[in-house]
Amino acid sequence: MDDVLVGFIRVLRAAGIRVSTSEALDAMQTGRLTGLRDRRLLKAALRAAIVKRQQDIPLFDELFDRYFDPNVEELPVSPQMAQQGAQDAHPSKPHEQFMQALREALERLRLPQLDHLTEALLAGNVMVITAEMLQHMSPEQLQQLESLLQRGRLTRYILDQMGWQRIQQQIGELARELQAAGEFELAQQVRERLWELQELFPRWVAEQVNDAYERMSPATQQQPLSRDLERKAFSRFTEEEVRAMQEIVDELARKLREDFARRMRRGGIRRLDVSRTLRASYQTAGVPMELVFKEHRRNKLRLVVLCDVSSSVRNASRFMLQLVYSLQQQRGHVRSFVFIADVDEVTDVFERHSVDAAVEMAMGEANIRYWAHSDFGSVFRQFLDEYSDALNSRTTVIVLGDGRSNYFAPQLDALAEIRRRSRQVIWLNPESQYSWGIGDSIIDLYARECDMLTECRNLEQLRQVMEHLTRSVA
Amino acid sequence: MFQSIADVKQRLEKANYLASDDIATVVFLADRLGKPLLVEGPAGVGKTELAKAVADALNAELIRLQCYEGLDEAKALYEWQYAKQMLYTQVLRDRVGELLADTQTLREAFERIAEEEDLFFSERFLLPRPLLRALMAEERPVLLIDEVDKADPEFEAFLLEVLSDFQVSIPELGTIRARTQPFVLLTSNQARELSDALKRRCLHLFIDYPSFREELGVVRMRVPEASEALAAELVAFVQEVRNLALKKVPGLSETLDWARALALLNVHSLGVKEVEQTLGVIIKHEGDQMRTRQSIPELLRRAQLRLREWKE
Repeated sequence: MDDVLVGFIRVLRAAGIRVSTSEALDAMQTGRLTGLRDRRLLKAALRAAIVKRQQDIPLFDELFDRYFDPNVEELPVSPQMAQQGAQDAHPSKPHEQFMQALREALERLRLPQLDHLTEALLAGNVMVITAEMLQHMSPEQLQQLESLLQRGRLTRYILDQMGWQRIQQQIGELARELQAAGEFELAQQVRERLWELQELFPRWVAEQVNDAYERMSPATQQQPLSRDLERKAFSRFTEEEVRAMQEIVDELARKLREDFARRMRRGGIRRLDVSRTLRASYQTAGVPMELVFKEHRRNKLRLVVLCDVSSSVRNASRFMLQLVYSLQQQRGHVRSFVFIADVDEVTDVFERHSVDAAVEMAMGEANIRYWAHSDFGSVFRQFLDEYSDALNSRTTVIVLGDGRSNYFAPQLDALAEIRRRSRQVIWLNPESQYSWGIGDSIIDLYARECDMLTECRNLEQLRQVMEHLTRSVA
Repeated sequence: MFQSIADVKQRLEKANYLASDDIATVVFLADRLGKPLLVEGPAGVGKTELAKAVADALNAELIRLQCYEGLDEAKALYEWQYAKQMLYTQVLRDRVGELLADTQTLREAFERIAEEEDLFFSERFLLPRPLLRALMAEERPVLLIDEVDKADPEFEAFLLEVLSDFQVSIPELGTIRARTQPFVLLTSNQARELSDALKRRCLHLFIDYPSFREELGVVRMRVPEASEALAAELVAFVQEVRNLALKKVPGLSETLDWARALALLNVHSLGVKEVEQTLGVIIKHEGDQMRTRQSIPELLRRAQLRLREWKE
């Protein structure tokens, strides 16, 4: 039982779900309590012990079904067995019947139980086999692979480690014993399955090694971030590169929050709250046992982010949205909006989806006209009309956009009103400073109603902005 | 202790809580493994109710710690009752005088008082707050730590310490160890991501909005005064409303309020007029109300379709 669960956990980890050792131990314990028989129960129990992020639930469910229900996915079935199955009542489960018959025969003849892996192979349960195989395929080994020859060697090594020789013997032995006991038909089926496996299994392992090697190859491996990337303009990033930056963005968001909290704590001198200290002293016969201090107003980082998602600043927006996503995950009080010629709130989208999906949806599925031309003026006006509840004297409004308004009316008064109702307006322009004010850029005009306008076209600048933000709010 | 998963289901139902198989399984596990249970999900799906029902089903005391920003250890653990200490000193002044009567020097008097110091910092003057109360309870209580996502990350770290050892140290008294390990439930509305460390310590249960069937079951159980036909209609309607892109999606608690309101108004069947008059019960955000108001006929039509499907 434990090795079944250990195998499952290995599969989960390989699929990217984080399972800590203590969670693995919990899984074992829950497994012992529920048993393996009732799959629905087991699923609910393991889910509770292992999955701690809502986004991982669908993936977990899918992997569970594939791992514990061998009929979902199978190593190829011999045509004969498939045919037999087709004539029966449950055409989709030829293996099930074969395995059932086999298990019954083993019991009847008092033959020893098959071991876990052998049974999985006979039943064609790919997930269990994968789990077993992953155990012998470490990243270090894969990294050392260079030539085809070495891949072949690793394949053989894995087969050895899994006891492939022994398994073949065991199945052969099984067939002979069934034969001897007069179970001719079953013996024949087992023999056929063995031939099939001998044909398929080594090839399958080799394929898996190849796949894993491809995944590990340098082209797709993450390179550590170099100094260049810090200064590389967002607009030159490829989409993949932006996505790969998620980790860095996460860190940036965490740092922003922590810096902020630290500043809040430091706070300086504590002021005595005389009236509350006196009131507290009535409890103690007028002796001020407890000093009450004025509380620092807990300034929290309250952000409203307006992000231009038109094609000219697409990459910078993607970046900003990722940052906003992380901020929102770590602490509430962030409301995010996307705009081109009209504006829509995407805060909810960010709350419900994984980062990739959320950013994708914000960039293409919000309730705005994606084919329109940027019109900052109407956007500010509409924002005031519909979302002014997002603003109060403590919110910082961040606008990300190039300020190219296609000669639409600037409606500067709308931006002024937004500024009046909030603590400050910070405008980040992903366009190079040299082209500001040229053509349809009215960024200089908008600059009048911003507390801060800055070029923000690479990571380094973004970091600086974040530091400024912490200082200015705290 | 619960006997089995079926037992959990039965006893929760007796406590007026309809638990799905998933919920019952996880509650059973948390009980058996003695692990805290972290319940996450949108507002109004019955997370807090679950804690109350569990306490009811286990016939245990429910101790509730409501989290908020700025909640600190003193408010969660214990406070000294200075007033009571003062009162005792005043009343006992004569006795103290007697005690010190034969002392010659100030130092001697001091020493004598110091010998009795323990009296003043004893459990007698300790005002236990929820966490300490849960640890000191004679019989196994249910400890509900509500909306833990509202508390500061620092408090979360402190909580972690309490939840892993079930003991706290009070400088004047020493370490207090839990007499019985409480059944701990934490709830979170996911206002922010909780720390991994806390999540690792807990079993995790995600409760989503209920399905039509589940929600109808709860309405029938909790609001028996609403007829079955009405209940089915209003649940179907709410289910449709949840598909709209609203800022604040109505939860199960809103559905129950609505059912009560409609039953009180003697409504037997939902029409545009009835819905319009009572919409405020399920939809509380102004913008949402406007958006929903426009599509009431359409929502009703779809709710009818859903009902027909269900009846078949």
